[in-house]
Amino acid sequence: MNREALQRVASLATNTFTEALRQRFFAFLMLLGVMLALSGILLRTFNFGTSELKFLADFGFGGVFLFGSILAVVMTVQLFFSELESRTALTLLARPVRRWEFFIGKFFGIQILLAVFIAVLIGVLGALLAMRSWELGREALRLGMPEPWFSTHGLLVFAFLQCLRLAIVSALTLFVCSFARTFLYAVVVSAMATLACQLQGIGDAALAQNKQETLLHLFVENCGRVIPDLQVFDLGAPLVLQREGLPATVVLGVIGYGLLYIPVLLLLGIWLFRDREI
Amino acid sequence: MPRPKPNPRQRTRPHLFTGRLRVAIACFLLFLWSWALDPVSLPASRWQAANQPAFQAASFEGIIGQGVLLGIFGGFRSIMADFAWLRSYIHWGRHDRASCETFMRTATALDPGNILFWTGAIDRIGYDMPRWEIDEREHGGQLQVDKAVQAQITREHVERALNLAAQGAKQHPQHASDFWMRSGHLCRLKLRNYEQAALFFKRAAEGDPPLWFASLSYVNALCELGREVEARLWLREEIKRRQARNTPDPQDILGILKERLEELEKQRFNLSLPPTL
Amino acid sequence: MPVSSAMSFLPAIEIKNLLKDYRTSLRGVKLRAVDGLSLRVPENSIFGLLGPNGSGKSTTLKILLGLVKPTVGECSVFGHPAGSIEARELVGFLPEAPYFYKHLSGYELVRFYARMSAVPTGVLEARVAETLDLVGMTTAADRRVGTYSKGMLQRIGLAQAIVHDPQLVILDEPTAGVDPLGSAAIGAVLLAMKRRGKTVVLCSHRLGQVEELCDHVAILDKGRLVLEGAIASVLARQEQHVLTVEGWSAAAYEAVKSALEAHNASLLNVEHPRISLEKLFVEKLSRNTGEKTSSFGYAHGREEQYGPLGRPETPPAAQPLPHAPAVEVSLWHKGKKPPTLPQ
Repeated sequence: MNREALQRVASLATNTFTEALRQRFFAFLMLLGVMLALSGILLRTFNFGTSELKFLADFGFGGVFLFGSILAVVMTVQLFFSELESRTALTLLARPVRRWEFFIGKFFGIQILLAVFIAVLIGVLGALLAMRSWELGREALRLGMPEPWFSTHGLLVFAFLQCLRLAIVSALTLFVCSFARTFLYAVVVSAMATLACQLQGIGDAALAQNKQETLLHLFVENCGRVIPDLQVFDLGAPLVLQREGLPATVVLGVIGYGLLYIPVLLLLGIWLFRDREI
Repeated sequence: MPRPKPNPRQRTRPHLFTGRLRVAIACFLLFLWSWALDPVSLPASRWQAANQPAFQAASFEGIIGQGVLLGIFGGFRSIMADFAWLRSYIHWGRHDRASCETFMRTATALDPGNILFWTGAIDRIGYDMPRWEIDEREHGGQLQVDKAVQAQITREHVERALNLAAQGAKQHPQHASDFWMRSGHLCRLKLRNYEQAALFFKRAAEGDPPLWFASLSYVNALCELGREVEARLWLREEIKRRQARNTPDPQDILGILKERLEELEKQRFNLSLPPTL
Repeated sequence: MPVSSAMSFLPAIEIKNLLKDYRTSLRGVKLRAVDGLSLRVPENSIFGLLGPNGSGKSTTLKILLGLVKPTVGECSVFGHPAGSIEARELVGFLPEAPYFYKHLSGYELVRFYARMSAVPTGVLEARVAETLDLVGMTTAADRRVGTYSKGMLQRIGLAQAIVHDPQLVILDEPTAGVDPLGSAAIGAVLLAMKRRGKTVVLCSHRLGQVEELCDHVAILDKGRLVLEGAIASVLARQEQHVLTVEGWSAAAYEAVKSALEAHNASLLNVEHPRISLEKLFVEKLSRNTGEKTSSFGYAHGREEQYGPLGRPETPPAAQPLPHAPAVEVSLWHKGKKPPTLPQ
């Protein structure tokens, strides 16, 4: 990989990001995510006490995951297929631009977009948690109750883990796009795959409870292995709201899982895209 | 111009690895890679299995079709549990026992790790629902319904609340004392079963971590049962145990317990029994 | 990119027995888009690739650019296998009905494509400015591409195709939807490129322009090559000659007729020579008065005059007599080998 290749990847990534930023869909999802996070402010009417922070955190985490996943799937397909359907890919790939440069450039452009999305939502959530934590803390002090607590460091680690999670989702979507023929097919298959990724842990637990030694059971048990297990990234509550936090091995394991899965998805996607006829 | 026959030697594409076969090979490689990454994700999976209890699917029987399945399958267990709890508030305001309990159980099933759901459900089932049901039976409520019937209704609801508390104590062993405390109050206030209440208070006082106010509640319960001697002896031992632990005591709990012991000692002198301190 | 001495002996494009089948259904039924095509495009020429819709032109171009793999056959660009990085470095491409990133300005778009083609950073800005000036888009360069008209899109498309100074430029319908003035301007750019030693492959349905610009043409039909050759030879009717005469009169008519009959020839037709409607349109509406050809500045300051085929012309020595306008005389030889006309 020489300097020119890196420059091309960087140019493609920047172009992809600026194109995505102008999409109304992105602004709409961002707005929805912020609104969901801010809607937690209404919870003060219920007087949950220090448990209110858990509710706020759940709303914020849910917004990041729900709207982030939709953004990752739809924008990835949109930005990839729009190049093929509008034939801007013709003018690009007729140049000395290698297929893998195009693929990786798209991926990184989408990651920048997702990072901006997560940063905004986590920023709003962090501000909300800090504000309510301060207000609830004063009340708790007055009543002689334990003070509420949340970890800013944990929130940053959580944000990074969600970046990794959504990077897996977009890498998986790009993998589907590399062989999909239509926009609809790519969106539907990618969305279902993302759903399946989230369900994998639940499915494994259910299968473990009803363990059988049949071939069918073995087949079903291993079917989910084709896709990554995204449930391992559900560490928001312990990271942000538990004083004891998480063992370093857990966090490093999850980071390693993400960093090792993403390149394989991209490599296989490039392999499939390499001989695709434009 | 004659049509040239395709010359196999001039083929530019390999026969193998085309189209769907490539996709199948790629999926197989992903399958192998997933196995290879198992050791990497194992610490996280184990930690989650140990610390994030699996949701109880059996509790969903009454609520399938409420959008819960979609929420769970979308991976929003916690937020769906929160929404379920908020909906239970709405039905609590309407005194709708069935719907309120359905959503409370949904919340505890979806997110068993949130202690607020358990303690809130116990209190509502034990204190609020008996009153609602009594009011439903007769307009005018407790003034109209027969006392025996009221007691029966109360007993049924409190028993359910006690069962829920037992489940909660199992689910949250680190907060078990809190659940025993609530159980004790339910027995004392709603069932007037001071014997059972005393047992629960004792469990809370001797649990890990021990609740200091459970100690006082246990002592009071024993006094209500007429077992002041037992209360005094137990409190004396409890104070010794706390002194032996030598833990920081900013709220002077030890002082509060000693004051209660002094009150019991004064009462003892009224009963003409030899002093032991 | 400088042309190597080895490259100067190679054809710009060489296609041998190209065959491309598309699979159209699960049952394996195939559509043969290109059927045994063999072609050579000489270097430093403007080559017209013609054919009706579905004749395989676009497929052939895509194979040359590496966007599609051939089923059978070999293609090369200046000796490099078609689709290789080395080949693509030498090629600039403007597809049919191009679509560009609407959010970029014209300048940003050309700059982006220049970076994609590894134009050195030191000359990048200058090259972009020069290219925009060449295609006449300097004033509109700061506007977003989404606001461009059809003609402007074609011109900016041409700019992105040539910004990296490729040796071979492939243009698929570059003047589709463009007015005659714009079309003539694009034609002038292509001629200028040829004068600089470039090779241009032009696919177009505007046969008048192809006839005017191209040195060689190839016609495809249903994936096969129907005809190929130099434009002058494929269009000429070998059994007839045209004389352009000035000072025509009735007496001259009788004299010529008698002379021809004496040589066993017949005078078929006498009419005035015509210029093409496109040329008339351009001459009447050209914004650059005094220019023999329409261009966006490439001919400025030059003392030579260039005709439509890019060959220098000597200025006319004498004006025709006002009472005797020029006429064309078509001759036909009856059965004998036509004489070689003096050069």
